[in-house]
Amino acid sequence: MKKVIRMSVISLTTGLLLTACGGGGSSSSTPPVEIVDDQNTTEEVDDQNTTYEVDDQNTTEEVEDQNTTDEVEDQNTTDEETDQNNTSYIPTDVSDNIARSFLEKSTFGPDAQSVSHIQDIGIEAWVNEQLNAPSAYDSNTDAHKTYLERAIYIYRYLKDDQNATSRDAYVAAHIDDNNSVNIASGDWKLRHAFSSTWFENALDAEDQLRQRMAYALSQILIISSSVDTFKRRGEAYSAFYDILAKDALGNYRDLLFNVTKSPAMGLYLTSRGNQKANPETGRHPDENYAREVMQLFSIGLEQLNLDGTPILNSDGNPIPTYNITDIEEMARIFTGWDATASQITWGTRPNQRYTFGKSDTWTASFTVPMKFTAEYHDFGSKTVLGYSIEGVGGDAELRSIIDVLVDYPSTAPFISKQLIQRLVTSNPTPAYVERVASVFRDNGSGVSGDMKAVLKAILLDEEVFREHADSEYFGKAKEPMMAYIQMLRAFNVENSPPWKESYITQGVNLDGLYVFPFENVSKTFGQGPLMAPSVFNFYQSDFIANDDEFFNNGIVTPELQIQTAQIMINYSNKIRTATYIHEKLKLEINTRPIHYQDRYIIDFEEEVALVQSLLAHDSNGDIDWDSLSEDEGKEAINALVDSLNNKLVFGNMNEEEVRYLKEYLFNADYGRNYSSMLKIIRIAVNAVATSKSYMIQR
Amino acid sequence: MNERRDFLKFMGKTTAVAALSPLVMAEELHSAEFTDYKAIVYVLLQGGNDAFNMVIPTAFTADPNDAEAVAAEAISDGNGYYNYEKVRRTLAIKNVDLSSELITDTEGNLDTTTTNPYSGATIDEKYLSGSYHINKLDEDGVPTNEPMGIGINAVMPEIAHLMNTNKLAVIGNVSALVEPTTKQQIEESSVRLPVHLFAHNHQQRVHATGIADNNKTSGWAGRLFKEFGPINGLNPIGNNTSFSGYAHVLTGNSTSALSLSLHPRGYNTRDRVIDLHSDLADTSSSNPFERLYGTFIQRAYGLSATLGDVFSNSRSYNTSDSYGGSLFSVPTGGSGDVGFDYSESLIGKFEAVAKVIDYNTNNNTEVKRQIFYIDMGGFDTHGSQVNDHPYLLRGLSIALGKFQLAMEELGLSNQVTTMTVSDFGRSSGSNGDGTDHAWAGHNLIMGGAVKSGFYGDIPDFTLGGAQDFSTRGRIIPTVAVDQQYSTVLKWYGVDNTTLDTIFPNLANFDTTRYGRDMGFMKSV
Repeated sequence: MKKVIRMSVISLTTGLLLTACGGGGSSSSTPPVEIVDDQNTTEEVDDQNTTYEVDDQNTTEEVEDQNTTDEVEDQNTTDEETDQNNTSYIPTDVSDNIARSFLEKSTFGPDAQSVSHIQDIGIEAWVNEQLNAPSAYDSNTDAHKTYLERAIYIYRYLKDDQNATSRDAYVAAHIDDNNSVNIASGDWKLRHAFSSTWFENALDAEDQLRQRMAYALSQILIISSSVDTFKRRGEAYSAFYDILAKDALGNYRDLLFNVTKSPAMGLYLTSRGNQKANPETGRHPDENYAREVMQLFSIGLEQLNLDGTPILNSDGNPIPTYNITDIEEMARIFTGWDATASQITWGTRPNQRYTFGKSDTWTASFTVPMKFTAEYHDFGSKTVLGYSIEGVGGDAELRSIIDVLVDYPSTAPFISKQLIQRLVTSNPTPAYVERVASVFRDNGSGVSGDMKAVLKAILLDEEVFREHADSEYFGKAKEPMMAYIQMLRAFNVENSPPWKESYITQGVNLDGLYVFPFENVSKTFGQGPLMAPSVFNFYQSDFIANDDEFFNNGIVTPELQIQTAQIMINYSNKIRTATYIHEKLKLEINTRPIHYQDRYIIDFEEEVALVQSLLAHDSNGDIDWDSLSEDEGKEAINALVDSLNNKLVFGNMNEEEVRYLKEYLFNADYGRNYSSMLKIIRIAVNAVATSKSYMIQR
Repeated sequence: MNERRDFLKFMGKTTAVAALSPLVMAEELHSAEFTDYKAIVYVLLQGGNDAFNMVIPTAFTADPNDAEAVAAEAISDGNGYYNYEKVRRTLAIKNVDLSSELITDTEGNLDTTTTNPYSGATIDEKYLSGSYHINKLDEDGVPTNEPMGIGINAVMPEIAHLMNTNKLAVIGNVSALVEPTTKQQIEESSVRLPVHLFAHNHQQRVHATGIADNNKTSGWAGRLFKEFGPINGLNPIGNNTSFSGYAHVLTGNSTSALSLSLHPRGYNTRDRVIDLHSDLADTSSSNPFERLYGTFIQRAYGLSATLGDVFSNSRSYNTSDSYGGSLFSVPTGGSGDVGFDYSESLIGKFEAVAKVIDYNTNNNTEVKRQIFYIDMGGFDTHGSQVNDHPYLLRGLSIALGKFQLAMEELGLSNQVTTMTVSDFGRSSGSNGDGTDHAWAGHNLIMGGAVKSGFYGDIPDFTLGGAQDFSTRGRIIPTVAVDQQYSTVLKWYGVDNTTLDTIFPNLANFDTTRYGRDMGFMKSV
């Protein structure tokens, strides 16, 4: 039985679009405006509440009680004032630790250059600069290529660097003008090419905020290279990642539209080749994408208040957003789309013509958007979430359903909260979620889904700056892979070391490349870019670690879901290995094939200089430890530990940690030459970068 | 050894021990008393297994020679083969009995080396070609001539053989249920339903909580071990263990599981820094996340010491698998099979479970009760089902067959029971290329203590029919997974009072056909 429930629509003071088509087009920022599309006949507008039908047993009154308009309006007014008039909580005198702590949330980790730059121009200006920085997507002055361009470049390079003629022949036979790679099941080197590209951007890219946001989005709008059909299609995930990186600073509407049309998504969630129902054969539309686009990519399972808390019915239970009929109707919308054919055809392959639903991995292109074929689309009208969607087919129909999803009241808090969790803190206060979600709904100019505005709201919120964060639970456990990357960036990670000659004779010249082999990354960290085990990510946003305090207080710890004992041991070993890969030793790195070992270089120059500045040494850098007084040795160790505490943990190591580490290093007897000094540095870095204080982001 | 010393040091700290070995709790608990070792292996088939093509109805309501009756049955709402065939269309498994292909060796084990059931067929052809029809067993567990009414898919000869040798039961038409549920009740909204039906993660979750209308609470095995109290001693390897990452089913309010990888690796200790790292982890911190992380680090150090002992054990089994290969080897195309990549990971996970069981029963005999969690992915067959599902079922069958042989060789067959669950069953209707999310399916229970048979129901598959939630064949279960759990747990030594505590909805099914003891475990 259908009953009417009433959802409070919250950002009333600045206007809200609840339309089934269009949306985002209003330029009016004042006064309060309620825009409701007349075509949506199921909607009833009741002053400041939009009502629509949901198949549920809940009554209007119950919902309204939870969420009165007046309260919300009050809060919203306050927020408005806060946003526009009071950003005094943002430190203007940006200390080294403040700079690093901010960059930890907004980049892949502070490095010397970014720390000094943000100190120079200030936090807000830095964010604005990043939001408007040139990128591969909007500027041809930017040095960076798109993921796809770069991955294909690297792939060619890995494929055959020695023989230009054979390489050109290979490219002509297998790679078309769209960088679509025509190989039966892909090529494992394509995976490495994507991985190298991804790490290159994480470690070196100037547009760090865009890259960090793209990574956060890759944990919400998920495809995964973990499935067999997909494993070796590096060009497919490169093209997909370009959508995330491009729209990371665009509009969520476009992001969802482009993701929906992505052939990689079509392959992963089986929307590719989805056909309208056929009563004669019993065929009906595949429901996979229809379900996940709602459950995970937009509205979520439960109706949410703007602050991200669930709206409860009279029994105190959450209210579902959709029912099985919505799924079945939604599935009809996503019919008629399939990957296009590659430009390269195979004379010997029978299946070279484009046939809807039949193009196999030989013939399909995974780098250009899926194509609409009217014959296979269901042109009837559909009713989803109480909205009537006209069966016009093509992009227009996709756009209209995506507008419904993006404008659905729960979407703003559902997506906003997850982004806060990925970037800033696992347990944001409802007020923080509400401030961000309000901006998601309306950027101040009547546009919803403006990702630049959302990012700004997340990063420049009062809760980000610790003196304003009133909870000891502010912060989050770091993802193990993120902790690794931050450590590498802190020590000036670089590619292009002069690798040993033997690589080149193997036909693979790695000069200028990072190498982070796929399996290596996922086995070590239990995660990796586009390597989630399923569409539900590496961890779930509501995971609570098994601990009485966290359990009883409902404090979620998503990232700890993958921090098993084995992953922690792996991480520790990985950091230890990293500490051996520094300037002095780069020529000694062994020559195993590229899929076994990460390849990069870091240096401890700053630490070496610090220790040497405090201790007498000869021209070899060797320190005559015997002649040192106890105080001199202590001074050097103290300075080293303090500097690492600042560099990696932003001064947040606890007092005991600092004391134990200093005592340990001072009492250790490692010998008396340059190597022994490096060893002390190595052990100190290793200890700090695996410490519990480093592994928690505050 | 440093690791050993750290481990001992660590064990001496009471707070850390609570974190490491949650079976030891500060509060005073009654402790269950067990004298023997028993283990349950909980196998999650991730993504929603299409169990309706794993176990096929072979019974006919109509006489197959009576064309009119056959046609009538296909049209009517019967639950025989024709009803199945009509709904499944191109995905329907043929009604051909392949049981003559099941050859056994002198030991009575399945032998596919001489008569390879796959010769001349591709695996998708084999998948659709028919099933091993199963006959009922007599009181002594010997097959009779009376059909059970089901067949096991052609790519699963090991499963069929296990049924014929009285070691495997099928639970029919089972899934998460709050209370007995009919279509009419659903239409009238007069029945409580599982939370977020048809969504993968939540249906996995309610299978783990054992409470279909609560996806927020702890896992049923976690709660059970809290009830048990300290029964397994202090060695961390005696804990419940996952070889598939985080396992909600094993996680209780104050109990948690080990999560191990298949090839555990310890710390690189060349720099002798374990002492240092352990000391740093043990410092006091005002930040709750840091405190938590510190206990995690300590747990990792504790484990690092023990794991080597367990996993360096490379017992070589005398028994061969059904291909004549060494027991936990991964069959390849070279074995004369259809030449695909078997699910190495499921075989590897079962091998790891066997190692822990072997270790504990020989070296750590204070361990009395364990539950293991492993999973197998890929069952979300929305598309390409006839290409993908055969591999999944074949891999599952091979892995289950190997593990049972291992337990038999270890003499633990009667003490180790394996059961499958899945997110949900899949729609009886085809979407043209695959099947979509649904509700009821069939589960498998395996072990020496299991009484072969089909327990539960073959549903009416009819689209929009009496057992369809809506119109696509999302079949309403007639057996609650709670009943499956309670039957296994009764064998495990859990009394009725505890069952009611762990499974608050169980009593809702006491008056249904199977009650809380479905009868598929041999009486102890």
